[in-house]
Amino acid sequence: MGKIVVGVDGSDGSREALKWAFAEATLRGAALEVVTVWQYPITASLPTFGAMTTPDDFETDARSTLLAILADEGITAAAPMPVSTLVAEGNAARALLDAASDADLLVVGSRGHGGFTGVLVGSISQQCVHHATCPVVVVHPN
Amino acid sequence: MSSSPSGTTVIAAVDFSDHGEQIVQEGLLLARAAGSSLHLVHVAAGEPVLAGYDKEDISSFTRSARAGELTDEHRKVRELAETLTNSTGVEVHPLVIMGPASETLLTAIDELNASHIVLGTHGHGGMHHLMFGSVAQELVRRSNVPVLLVPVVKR
Repeated sequence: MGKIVVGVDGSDGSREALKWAFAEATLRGAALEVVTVWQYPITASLPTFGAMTTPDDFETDARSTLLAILADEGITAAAPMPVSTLVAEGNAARALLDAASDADLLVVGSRGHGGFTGVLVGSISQQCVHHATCPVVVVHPN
Repeated sequence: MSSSPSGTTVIAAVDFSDHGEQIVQEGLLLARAAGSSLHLVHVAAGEPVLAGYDKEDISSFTRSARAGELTDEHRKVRELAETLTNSTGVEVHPLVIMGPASETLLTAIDELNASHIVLGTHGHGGMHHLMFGSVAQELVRRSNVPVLLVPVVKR
């Protein structure tokens, strides 16, 4: 069975990417792997003692956000294909490329939350296109 | 420019480069999954612009050479489309359009009402050392439909 990997960060582009990946996985009879990535925020000062967010909190948050998005898009356990989720920490492009190393397709939105608005193509999608060994589909937000 | 019963089509931009075969394969996968037809679009370079002396002599010479090349390119796309239609069951249409690559492909997406476009990240155009071909970059930036980019790297 083939595998389609899609990166989701909650942005409109990534939601379109998820919809596209789900539809294509359904048509092809491929498994779907949904990847979300979180990073430690860079802070200038230490938070108040006791108020520090732990890695577990970040991961739990990322996972619940991802599950909410999947539910929102109607991608449930009843989906016609196996759907797996991966919550990774660190560099988004790296995580997507690793997940897609044995995939048939890597699907990304044309621009997510990362980077700055002056960049015309999302920096993460661009890195994926540069380095992927499988075909990359760039989906635009409507 | 006919289309499949479902009315949708996928464009595969073929330029007869090393990984052209993979571009066609990815286009076929998309088209077959969606029950679409496939258009093999080959963008041929426009007519050379000549400046300088003896313009008339050179231009008739280069024009006929270019015409020969175009005939050749057209024959290759047509043969490929025929072979694929017969072997895959997907309706494959050949199309050669002259013009600047990115603009021409964007126009083709509109005119054929394509659902997807497939192209390599590394065509013949632009500078070869660029990892991400300039045509691919332009398409990703400006296309309204999903762009499937086939990397040069073999798996």
